[in-house]
Amino acid sequence: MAQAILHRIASGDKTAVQDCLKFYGGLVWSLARKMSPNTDDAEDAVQEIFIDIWKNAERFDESQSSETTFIAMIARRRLIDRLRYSNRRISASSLEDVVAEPANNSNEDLQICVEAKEAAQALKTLRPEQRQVLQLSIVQGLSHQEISDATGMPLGTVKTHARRGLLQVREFLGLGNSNTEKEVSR
Amino acid sequence: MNDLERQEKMLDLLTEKAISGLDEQSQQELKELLNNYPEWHDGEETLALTAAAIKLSAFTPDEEIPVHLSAKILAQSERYFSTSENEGKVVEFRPRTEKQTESVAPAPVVADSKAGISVWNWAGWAIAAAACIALAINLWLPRTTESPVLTNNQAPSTPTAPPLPGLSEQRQQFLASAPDLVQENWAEANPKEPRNIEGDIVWSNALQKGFVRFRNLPVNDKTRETYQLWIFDANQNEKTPIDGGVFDVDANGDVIVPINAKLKVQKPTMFAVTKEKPGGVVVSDPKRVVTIAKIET
Repeated sequence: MAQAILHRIASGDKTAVQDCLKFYGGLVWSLARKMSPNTDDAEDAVQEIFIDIWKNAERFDESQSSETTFIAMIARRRLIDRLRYSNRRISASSLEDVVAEPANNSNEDLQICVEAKEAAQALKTLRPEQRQVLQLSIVQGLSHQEISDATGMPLGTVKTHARRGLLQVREFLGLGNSNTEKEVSR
Repeated sequence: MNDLERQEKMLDLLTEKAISGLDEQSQQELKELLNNYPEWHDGEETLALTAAAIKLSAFTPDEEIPVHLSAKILAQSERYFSTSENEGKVVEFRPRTEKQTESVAPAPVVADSKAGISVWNWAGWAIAAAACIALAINLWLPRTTESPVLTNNQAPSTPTAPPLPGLSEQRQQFLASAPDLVQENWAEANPKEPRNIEGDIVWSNALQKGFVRFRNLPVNDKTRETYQLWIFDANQNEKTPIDGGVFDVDANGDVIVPINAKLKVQKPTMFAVTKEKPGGVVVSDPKRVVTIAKIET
C-alpha cells in the first residue's frame, strides 16, 4: 500500500506537497469558498491551511482517521479562527430558510470518505433535536445563540444537544475511549 | 462547581471549540479544566475530527483549486521545505510557478487559451501521429526485448551516464507500489525524421504520479528552450492536453523526470514531449513535438 501523503510530507518529501494539492486542493478550496466572506479571503485562508497541513502532517494517525477527515479538520480550524477574527455571522434574514431546510447530503455515493458516511449514519441514530442542532451548527455554521434564536430552544438546551450529539457521533466513529463512554450515555 | 458541573463545563467548552472555536478566555478555562481530567486530553482532537466528519457528511467538493493559487502554494512549499536535491541526477525538475508562466508565455497564446481557441489543433495532430505509432512500435520492440530496462524494471546503464540514485530509486519504489501501472515506450513523432529517442513513461492514476525516462534526448540550452511534457486524457479536450511539467536535460545519458500533472489525470491516452521557450507555454505547436507515447487500451 502506498505511503500516506501526510507521512511523506512529514518526512520532508517535497513531491508529496504536489500530491497533497492534487488530491486535497479541491476539498480545501471548496471548504474555504463556503466558509469565507469572499474569494480573496478564501485564497488567503487556503494558503494558511496548507501551511497548517505541513506543520501538522506528523500528527496524522491513520488508525484514527482518514487523511481526508484530518485535512478537513485542519481546514475547519483555520477557517473558524478566521471567521471568529472577522466576527462574520450568517445574516439573520437567512436563518429561517436554514432552519427550515438543514443541509442533508442524502446521497452516500457523494460522501468523500468513510468517516463522512459513518457520520451520516450516526446522525440518523440521534434524537431529532440533537441532529438538528449539529446540522445547524456544523454544517450550516450557526452559533449556539443563533440556533436558540431561530428554533426557540433555550441556549442551555442547544448546548446540551450539541454536546451529547457530538459525543455520540464520536463514539459511533470509534474515536472515544472507555473512560469517557459513560458521559455519552447520560 | 462540583466535579459533575466542572466536567459538564469542560465538555461544553470542548464541544464549542470543535464546532465554532473558543475565545482566549474560554480557551484558558478549558486548559485549566482539562488538567483535572487526563482521560479527556485527546478530546480536542477527537471531537474536532468528529465535527469534520459531520461537515463532510453533507459536503461535496465542487470546485478545483485555482491554478494560480496552486502555484502560490507550491512556491510557499519550496521555501518551507529545505531538503537537499538528489545528487547525481542529470535533469532538474522545475515546477512552474505563476510568475515564471506569466513571464515566458506569450500573451496572445494565453489569451487564446482562455478563449478556448488553440493555435494548433492537437486532435488532428494526435490522429496523424497515432497512425505512425504502429511502425514506431515495430521498430522499437526488438530493442526493448534485448534491453533489461523494460523486462525487469532495472534502470538502463550506459558507460557515460552518471548513476541516478535518487530519481531511479523513487521510480523503482513507484513501480513496486503502483496498483494500476500504465507503461509505454516513446515512439517517433514523425518516422520520416527519426530522432532515436528511447525510454518510456510510467503512470498510475491511483497515485496520480509517474515518471518519464529518456535516452538520446538532446541536451537543451536552458537560456533558450526547455522540454515540456503533455498528457492527453480521454476526459479532457484534445485541444488542451494537461501540462505535465517542464524539464531540462543537462548532460548526455539517461534522464528520469517525475511527471507533474497540473490537473487530475483520469484516463491518459497519450503523452507527448515538446520543446518550448524557457518556462514552458500554455498552448503548444505540432512542429515542436519531439516524441510521443500512445497508451494502448
